[in-house]
Formats: sequence, C-alpha cells, structure tokens
Amino acid sequence: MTTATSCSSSGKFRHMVENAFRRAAPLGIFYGVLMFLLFPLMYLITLFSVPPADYAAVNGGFLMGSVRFYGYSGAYTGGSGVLLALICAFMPIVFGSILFSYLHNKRATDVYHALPMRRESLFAANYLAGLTLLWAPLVLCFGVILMAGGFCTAILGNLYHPLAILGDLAGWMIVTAAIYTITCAVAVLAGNTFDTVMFSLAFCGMYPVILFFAKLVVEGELLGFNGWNGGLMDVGNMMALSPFTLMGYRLTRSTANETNFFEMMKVESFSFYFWAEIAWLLLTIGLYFGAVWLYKRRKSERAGRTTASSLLNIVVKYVVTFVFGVAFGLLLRATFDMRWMLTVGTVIGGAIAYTVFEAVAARGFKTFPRAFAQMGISVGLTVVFVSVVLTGCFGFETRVPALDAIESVTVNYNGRYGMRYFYDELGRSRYDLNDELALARGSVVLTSPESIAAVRELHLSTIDDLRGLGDQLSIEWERSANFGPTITYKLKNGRTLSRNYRQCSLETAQGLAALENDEQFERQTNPAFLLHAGELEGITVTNRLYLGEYFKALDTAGQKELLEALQQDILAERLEDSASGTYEAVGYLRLEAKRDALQAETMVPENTDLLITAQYTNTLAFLQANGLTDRMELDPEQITRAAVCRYSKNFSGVGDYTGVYAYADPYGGVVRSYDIMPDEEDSYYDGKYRGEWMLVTDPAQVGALYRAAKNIGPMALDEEGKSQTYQVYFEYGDEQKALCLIVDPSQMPAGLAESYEQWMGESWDGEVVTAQAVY
Amino acid sequence: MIEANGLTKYFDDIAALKGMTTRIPAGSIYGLVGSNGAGKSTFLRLLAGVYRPDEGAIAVDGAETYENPAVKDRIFFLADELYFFQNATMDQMARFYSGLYGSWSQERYRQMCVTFPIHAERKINTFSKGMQRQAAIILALSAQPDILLLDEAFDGLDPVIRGLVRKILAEDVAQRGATVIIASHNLRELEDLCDQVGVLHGGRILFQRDIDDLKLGFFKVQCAFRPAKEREDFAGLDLLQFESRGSLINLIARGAREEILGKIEAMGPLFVETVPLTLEEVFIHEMEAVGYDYSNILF
Repeated sequence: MTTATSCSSSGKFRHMVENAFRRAAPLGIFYGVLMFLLFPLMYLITLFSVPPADYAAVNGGFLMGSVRFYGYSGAYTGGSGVLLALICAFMPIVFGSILFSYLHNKRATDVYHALPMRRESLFAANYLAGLTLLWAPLVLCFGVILMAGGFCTAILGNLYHPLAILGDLAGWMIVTAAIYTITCAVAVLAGNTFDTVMFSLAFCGMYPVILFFAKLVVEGELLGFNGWNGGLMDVGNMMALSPFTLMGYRLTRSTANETNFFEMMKVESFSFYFWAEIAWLLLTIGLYFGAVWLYKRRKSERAGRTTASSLLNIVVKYVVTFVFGVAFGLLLRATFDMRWMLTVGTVIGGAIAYTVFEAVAARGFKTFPRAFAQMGISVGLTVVFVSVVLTGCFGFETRVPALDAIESVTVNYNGRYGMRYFYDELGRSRYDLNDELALARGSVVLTSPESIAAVRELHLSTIDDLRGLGDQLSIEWERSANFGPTITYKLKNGRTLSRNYRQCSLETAQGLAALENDEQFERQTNPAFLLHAGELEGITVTNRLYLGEYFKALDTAGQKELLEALQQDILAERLEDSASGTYEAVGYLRLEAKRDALQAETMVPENTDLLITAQYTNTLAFLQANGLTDRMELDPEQITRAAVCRYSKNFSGVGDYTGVYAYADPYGGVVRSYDIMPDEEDSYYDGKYRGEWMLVTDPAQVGALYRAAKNIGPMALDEEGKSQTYQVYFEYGDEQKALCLIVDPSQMPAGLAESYEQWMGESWDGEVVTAQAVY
Repeated sequence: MIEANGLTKYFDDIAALKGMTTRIPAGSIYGLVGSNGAGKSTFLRLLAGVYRPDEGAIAVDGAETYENPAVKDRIFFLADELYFFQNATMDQMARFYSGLYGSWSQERYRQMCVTFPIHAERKINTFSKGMQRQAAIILALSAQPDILLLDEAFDGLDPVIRGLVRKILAEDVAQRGATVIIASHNLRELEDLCDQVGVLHGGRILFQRDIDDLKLGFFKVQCAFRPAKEREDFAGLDLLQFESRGSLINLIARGAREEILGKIEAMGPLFVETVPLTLEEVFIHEMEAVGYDYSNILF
C-alpha cells in the first residue's frame, strides 16, 4: 500500500490517517466486538465444551465425538464460518462507504479537496485507516484462536494446525481487502453513498452470477455441448470469482483432517481456491492503483450527484439486464417447456430489470424515454446471446466431421458389461483425492471404419432427432436419459471434436449394435478379454434364470484355457444371431476376479457375468470337460408361476437395458418374488420396479411364456420409438428370486398379450405392435 | 499575486466560467461580486484547488493551485456551506487543521476562542448557524493562510461579530500581508471592507477596480430646469439612468464629478447637486448595462 513516501509530507499523511481512523473507530469497535462474539467466542465455547472422554489426548491424537471444527484450519464451528463470511463480506463495504463518503458530500469535498494534500495521499490515508480497522479485529480474533488452540492441544490433537490457521487468516485478509478496495474504487466513481453501496455489491458479486446464468443457458440449450466441468465455469469454482464467496466456499472444500498443504494442493478445488486467493491479492493491488488513478481524475463536482450516466452505471445495468433477463427466460422456458419462451422471457425480464434499475439509479423516471435506447441495446445484446445458443451457436450443433477426416472415435457405450474400474491391492475401487473414481472407464475408443461410421451415424441421427423437435424439444424428454451419447472424434489433423447429449431415441441408439461385433469393442469391454489368466479365483456358473450358483476354482492353466475358449466364441458371435434367438441361452458364467492379483493396468467391468449360448461351443466344451454343464441345466416343470410387465413410460425394465437391445442382465435384473407377485393378489405395484405386473398361473400359459422368453433380444419399438418388449419373472421351485427374462411382443403366447391389455385397462396408454427386429 | 488566465469551468454543458482572466494583487481585500450563478463560488473553488480548470489556468505567484500542496498550504477556503465532522467540537476540528496547515497557530486559535463568544469544547452541531459560521472563521483565521477565500463569509453573523471579523481581516492584511478574497452578495459589507472589487458576469470579469475609483466614477445628479429638459438634451453625458418629473430631473452618469457638473451647469439649471453612488447602485447599474435584471439580486 502507498505509504508516506507518496505524500507531500509524511506528517500530514500520518495526521490524515489518524483522523480517518478516529472517524471510523466507532464502527471499527462494533465490527471487532461482533466478530469476536460470532467467531472466536464460538470457538472457545465449543472447545471447552468437549467432554474429557473425547479429548485427543485420550483418543490417540484425534478429537472424538461429532465433528465440531470445520475448514482447513479447523478454526470454525458450525455457524461461525458462515457468520464470519457474512461479516467479512459486508463490513468492508460499510467501511469503504463511510471513509470515502466525503466524496459524495459537496460540503465535505470542499474541505477535503482544499486541504494541502495530494489526492493520492488523501486516498491512501483514508484507505489505510479503513484497512487497518478491517484487519486488526481479524488478526486479533485469529490470534485468540491460535493461542486457545495452542493451549488446548490435549483436546484438539491433530486438529490444531497453526500454519493452516495463519493461512486462513491470510485468506480472510485478502478477501476483505478485495471487497474494501472495490468499494473504495466504486466510491471514487460514484456520486453518492447509496450508489457506492449498490455498485459495490454488484461489482463484488456479479461475476459468478453472470457466468452461472450463461452456463445454464449454454449447457441447457446448446445441443451436444459437453458442459463445463472444470475451470472458471465449474459451478463451485465460480464462487472464487467473487470475494464474497471465495473464502466462505473454500471452507467447504476442505476439512481440518487434511492439513498437509502440498497434499491438499493436489485436490483440484482446493488448489483452485488457493490460486484464486493469489489472483485476488494481485487484483486488489491493481485495483488500489486503479482507484488512485481514478481519484486523481475525479471531478469534485460529482459530489452528491446520482451515478445515472456513468460507465459504472452502464456496466451494472447491462449485467442486471442479462442476469434477470436470462433468469426470467429460463423460468418461462421451464414453465411452458418451449424453447422460444426463453427468448420471450429474456426480453420481458431484461426490460423489467433494466427499467427498475434505471429508476433506482436515477431516482425516478426522468431519464425516460431517453433510456429506452440503452434498454434496447442491453436487452438486444442479451437476446443475441440467447439466440446464438438457441440457433446452434454458429453451426456448433450440426458440426460432424467427415468420415475420412476421423482417425478414431470415443463413445460412452459399453455394451452389456458396463463401466470398468481399476482396483487397488485390497480389491477396492480406486478413488483419487477429488473423490472421483480413479481411472474408471465408461467409453470405448474405436478405429475401424465400420465402427466410426456407426458412431457417426448415431451422432447425425441424434442431431436430426433433437433439432427436428424444434420448440417441442421438451426438458423432460431431454433429461429422461436412458442413454445419452458422449462422442469424441479424434481427427486426422490432430484436433478433437466432442459432443454430449443427454438423450437419444431408442431407434437411434440401436445403431450402436454394430459396435458389438467389433473386435476392438469386445477387447475393451468384455471381461473375457480384460481379465487375464492368473487374475481369477475361478468361475461361478448358473442356469439361465441365474439360479443354482456353483463356484469352481481354476488354476492358471485352467483360466487360460477358459479365457481362450471364451474369446474364440465371443469373436465368432454375432449380436444379430444371439438376439434373434438362433442360439438358445444355456446359462451364465461369472468370471470371479481375484482382486489382489490384478495386474497394474487391468480393468474389471462392473458386470462379469457372460451369457453362454449354444453358439459358445468352445466354452461349452470346457464346461463339459469340467463337469459344469449340468449346473446350468434347468427343469421347466419346476416353473410354477410367472409375472409379466411391459416396458412403458413408467417402466423401463429391471437391469436389462443396454440402450441398444434387451438383455436379461444378472447385474441388476434379479428380482425377488415378493417384490412383484405376492400371494392372494393378481397384481402388485412396487415403486421400486415401477411397473404393474400381471400374474400368470395357468401351467400352459406359464410354459408357453417360458418357451417364448429369451435372455437377449431386440427392443420392440412402437411407432413413436417406445419399447414394447415384455419382461417376465418366472417362479422356479422354492426359489424366492430369479432373473427376469424378456419376451418379444411378436413371440407372446396367444391370448396373453390381449389378457395383459385387458388387465391393464385404461392405465395402459400404448398399443400392441409387432416387434421390428433391428439386427 | 493571483492570476487567472482564460479560466474556464464547465458543469456538464453549462459554462460557469468562460475564459475568465484577472489579476488580484497580494496584500489586499478583494470583493468578488456578481449575479446568482455568475461563477463566484466556482472561481474560489478553482483557486482553492477543489476544482480543476477545464481550460486556462489559475496560479498563485506563478504556481498553479490544483494538486499543488505547497500552494494550497498557503490557501484556506471557507465555503458558503460549512462542513464539520460529525459530533466534532471546535477543538477537534482545530486538531484536524493544525496537522495539515503549516502556518497554523495554536496560540492564535486559543486567542480567537477567547475573542469570539464561543465554546470550543462543545459539539459544533449544537451551535446556531451564526455560531457555526464563527467557528469556521476562527479555524480559518487560525490557519493564518496567505490567501483566505471567503464565500458568503458574513452570512448569519450578527453586526458585532461582523465588525470583529472585518477588523481582524483588516489587521491580517495590514500585519501579515494576507490576501483576502470575499465573494458576496452583500455589497454593503464589501463596500466598507474591500480594496478592490471585481464584478463577475457571464463567466468573465465584467470589470475590476479599486473601490474608491468605482464609487467615484458614477454620480447621481439631481437638478431642475425651466423649461424642462429632455434626455436628448443631456447627450453630452454618459447616462446610465434618466428620470424627469416636470422640471425635476434625476440622472446617473458615469464620469468625473467636475466634468458632469460642468456640463450640467453650462445648461443653466435652477439648481444642481451630486451624490456618490453606493456600491450596490454601481453594481446594479453596471449589471443593467449588460442587460441583467437586478430584481434577482438580494440585498
């Protein structure tokens, strides 16, 4: 900060500092007492209320009981962090407004600006007095906590970190200085104190708000946009753009147990806030000199005037128009579920916000109708922004690279085996410091022309689907995602193009079936390729209802033999053959990974159950040789009852849905009988499965149903592209659970489909159609 | 020496001063008069360094005042509307100024607090308007500036205090060689106090003269003729006003007394006598001469 060296006389400067200090001292005392009561006093009360049994000294260095202290420094109790954030957000504005109020009073300006001092000295003296009054209570309060914690290490143990406390103190000093400096700079530009407060609030807090609403519009309305998940556009990180929220939000980014600064810096959100503090420190210094520069050019005659026509006013007016315009537009968009209402709402909301702000800033409507021109520009700019997004952002929505320009494509389709994870030596999924699954993979990289073409076709169809809906593009439809494609093209020119959709139609998604026949796809998703010999405990076999589990341990040689057999069968398998029922399902084979034997780069899918069909001749030979085929056998005579439910808008199936085809998936498709078919009732609705199940007890019908049921098959779609496939639960012997199988509508036994329709009555809003096999 | 050259100051699109040029000698009491909005206060604020000139310059002994602490240390500006810190006492205000003005005299301050009937330890916001004005004057005089700028300084003061202030100002000029510039509508006050008067009009100095020259340059003449004379008969005089009621004529003419009387007596009046004009009358007639409606002017 500027010191006496910049003054014409150090004595005069010191005298002016003392004078300013005395003037603001009553407020400083109030602020200091308030901070003490709400911050260190709360800390002391909490500290001394810890029962001796919970002391760290008697609990291996850790404070026991419910968490009482929060934040990186552990200096905050439940409410004190919030209260401190509020005090530190608003008191600097009060100090800045009061100390520089002489600029807004004509009589005071006459006195101050006639004094034999340069303006930079005058500014520096008042600034320094305010900053001292702001910082002194902070330093004292943190000092109390530092000392109290130091005296009570027996209570706190590992929760006491002096350096972290000092680090937090530095953070609070930076944000209070930033808010105070912004207020001082605004005071120099503004003509009166009301405007100073109003514009200071705006200039301290508007940046996250602007970005937040821009983000809402772009991420919500720009089809294919991947979204911002890091950097400044991350919702959490945005808070760092405002000194109001910088420290308050940082408190939620860390806990007192994570005290190693360098370890904490590996946490993205923590390091972001650390660098944000440094940025605000530099910005504050820059702002100080900016304010001095402005002050030297300030006309004394501005005192007492409104700020209606200043640059300050114009900037905030445009921001207010943008924020409220977009907010109102989004509200109308959500209310009417029509995209064009976003534009209408933006115009209405922007115009109202502009009018209200103009009237407040100009203390009346005297600037109208002249202000209409400015209103037109500000509302117009907001509408241009919204329109650019709604119209596809200059071709962003329709940009799909040419086939011959694509080197590879990454798509988040994983087939029937789901996400793949890395595990640690204890068999736990690996998480990083940001609490994200480390190296989890939910997409495949493909280079074959057929697969690239298939993904590109999916992309084109999705664009057509979504853009074809125009204003009918419903928020509900967009967000009821079963499969939302995320596609990244790596282009031959070295660039990448990435798009993300929250949804695509079932019909479109079925185009990805072609990937299932790609060896690259299988090698990246199928557990038989991902797991290696030596990494298995053994295998578990079940019948096609996923019952009769039998585990068999395998040595490395056996594992190798099995995996080779499986790989041969898998590469020979065509999805269309499996799905069309050419080969009967025999049962399931689960590869039991030995987690602590997994190699460094081995990924394990969440689903390691492989459906073995009659086509898996090599595998069946292995199973036969090991006496396991008997374990897969199933006696249809033991099936006594069945329950039927059709996919609908309220029921998208139980764990059997890949987004492309129907699959009786053991990973989530095993249902307990009492969930869907209790005794004495012919139907049962369970919110868990979101469907109404029709009970079938006639042995002939049950048998016919069983013969029609498949473990894998196409999704039968109606004209609107909605699935019509049935899901059937079979009660087998005394088993209380079984895997739901699927029945194509075209294969439904005579009379049962009609019975289902009749039984559903008016609650059913679809119609029975003939399945269209897509393979 | 205070010099203003082409001094111009705009407030938005209104020019308060338009190329004002003047020289005010040191060691004098200068009265600045002018109609409402003529730019008197603006001139004082420019001289005090409160305002920055949009064009031209204003300097004291060759040094411009704006952002010049050395020059401003020699100037004390007492505005028409007073400002004191909230809940401040005179002593607190004195402590404030004492650290900022190099020539501040605490002794003189104590002396003034005795001379003026005022309680220095009481909060100023409990004072009457006149007492607040006294407080401001005490503070200004205690700063002992080379140049004291007083805007409507006597507003609210009772006659005794006015006399006291006039006396102290005169002593300051005589003993310290101070320059006092007083902007006022109260021309009677200036008449008794000022050495020189400048009339501001339309953002410029209309004229600036020693007060004695000014008052002696205009004369009111009462005379009578038989037969009665018309205005045209006095074409040889620089008439500012002419009224006739029968044979009695009242006129105001610019010029030397002897010259005016000589010309009238040559016309054979029944009687003739001259009366010097007050400063107010001079001001009004000069302003009328430039087309100003003097009914706006307060006395």
